[in-house]
Amino acid sequence: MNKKERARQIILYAVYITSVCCIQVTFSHVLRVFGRTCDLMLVFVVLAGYLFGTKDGIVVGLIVGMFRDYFSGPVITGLNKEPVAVLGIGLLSFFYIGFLASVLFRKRFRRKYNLGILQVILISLIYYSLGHIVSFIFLSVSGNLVTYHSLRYILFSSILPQIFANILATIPLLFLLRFVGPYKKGIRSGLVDGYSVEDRKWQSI
Amino acid sequence: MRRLFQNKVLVMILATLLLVSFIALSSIPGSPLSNVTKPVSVIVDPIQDVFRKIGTQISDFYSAIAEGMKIRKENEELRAEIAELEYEVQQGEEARIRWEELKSAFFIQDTFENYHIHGATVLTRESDEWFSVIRVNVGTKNGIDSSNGSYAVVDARMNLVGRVMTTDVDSSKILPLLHEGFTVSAKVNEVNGAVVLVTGDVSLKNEGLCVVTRIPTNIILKPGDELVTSGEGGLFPAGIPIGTIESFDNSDPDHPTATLRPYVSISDIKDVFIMVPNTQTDDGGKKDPSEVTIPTGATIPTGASLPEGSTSPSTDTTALPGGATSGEAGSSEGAEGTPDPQEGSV
Repeated sequence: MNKKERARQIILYAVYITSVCCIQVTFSHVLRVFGRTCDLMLVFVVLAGYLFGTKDGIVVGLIVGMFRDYFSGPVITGLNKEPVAVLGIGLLSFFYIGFLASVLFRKRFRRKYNLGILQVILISLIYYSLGHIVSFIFLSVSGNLVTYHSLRYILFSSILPQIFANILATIPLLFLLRFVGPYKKGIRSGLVDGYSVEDRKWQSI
Repeated sequence: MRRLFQNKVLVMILATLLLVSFIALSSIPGSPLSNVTKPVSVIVDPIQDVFRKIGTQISDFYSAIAEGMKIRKENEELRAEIAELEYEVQQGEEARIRWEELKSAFFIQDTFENYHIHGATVLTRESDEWFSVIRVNVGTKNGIDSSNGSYAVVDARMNLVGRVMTTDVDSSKILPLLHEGFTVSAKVNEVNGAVVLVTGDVSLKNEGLCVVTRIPTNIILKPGDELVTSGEGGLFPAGIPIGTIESFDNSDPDHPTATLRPYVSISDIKDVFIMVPNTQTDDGGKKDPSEVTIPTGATIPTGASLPEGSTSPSTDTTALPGGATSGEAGSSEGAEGTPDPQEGSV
């Protein structure tokens, strides 16, 4: 990758990350589908990892995670019943999301663009399921659990509508990454995947 | 060394350990890691504000087109209403002067006169179920500093919205009333009303409800009963309206519970007011406690009114919303519900 390409990559990633994060937290009421806000941050990290490899996935995941912590970082209740604003949970979760998106079904999916939607569905399912499990365990252990959502609610009112909302957010982001960048023609040239360069020619919508 | 970092598993384990330590350290109260976001806020807040302003302008433009006829009709009605209100203001001014005279004579104190009220605009909302705090556009630059303790946050009608969690240079994080980490001591708004505990609840959050616990066993709460802050614990001054009882569950007679519908709708709220005790913001000279600092760009919410002598909202002062407008500065001693911000949340 020459200097020009590197600069283009950094600038475009900076613009995407800033826009995606700011749009999600500023216009969350506009981005609502079936009572759930489209998780642009999660979708973007998944697509960056899936399409452009582990390095991009992890770096984008860490930056987006930092933004998530900054804008709306979680508050947990400690054992003394005092709420504490915690930093780093977004960093950790999005670091894993970026990594997972880059390795999950890598050989089977071969980073094909239209299968990006499937990757978003899979990662959303994992993220929101784990989120509910961790939240339930944490609230129970810290003694702050009064009641928790029913399984039916978690499945039909939380996870499934959220996945549907995320699919809707995936489509424009896929087009953006394919046709605008950060890499020319939507293909990262130096990606080492264990299969031939010719194979990547079918990375098209 | 380089070969060591090419091992993905090792890198993942090291990064995880590092991030977990970061989380653990940041969760310690008073940890210096909480200041990590301060430099971020200097860069990110202006960018985010641009997005917010663009969004507001677009929505205003479309509203102007879509609601043109409606606005014209409303304008005519409002003009008639203004004429009526001007007369009422005159009457009210006379009553105010009389009230001031009586107040000095009888040493009456307003409930919230020991607080400076800082107006703020909501910048960001929740990202998902777990990342659900909101961010407003006032910070240490405006005299709000969470290291001195937390502050109560109310809306224009003086209803409880939440509390300040952390502050950066230009913005602060607010823990909303519906969040499962939120707790406030409340009392039924009647003479010798029972003291109870209002807490956010995971499963009730989406219905816009809170749970009420620690209800004395001899008390039966009725739907419609109003709860206000009790003032116990020191963070929230007594008398801030919280909401009304929605349902009462006495199936476990030893631990009756109830659900409460807050007056504030967090998803619709655009402007909030942060209550800072006078003792913290007095730096030599004392300000009029009825003053509200409106940051540039913030809009005055319905219910807030301009004090006499103010020319426009951009002059940075307006009367305290909710009616607690007057009073002598700095008379904090002996006031009911005077908070000690170093104390806990309840």
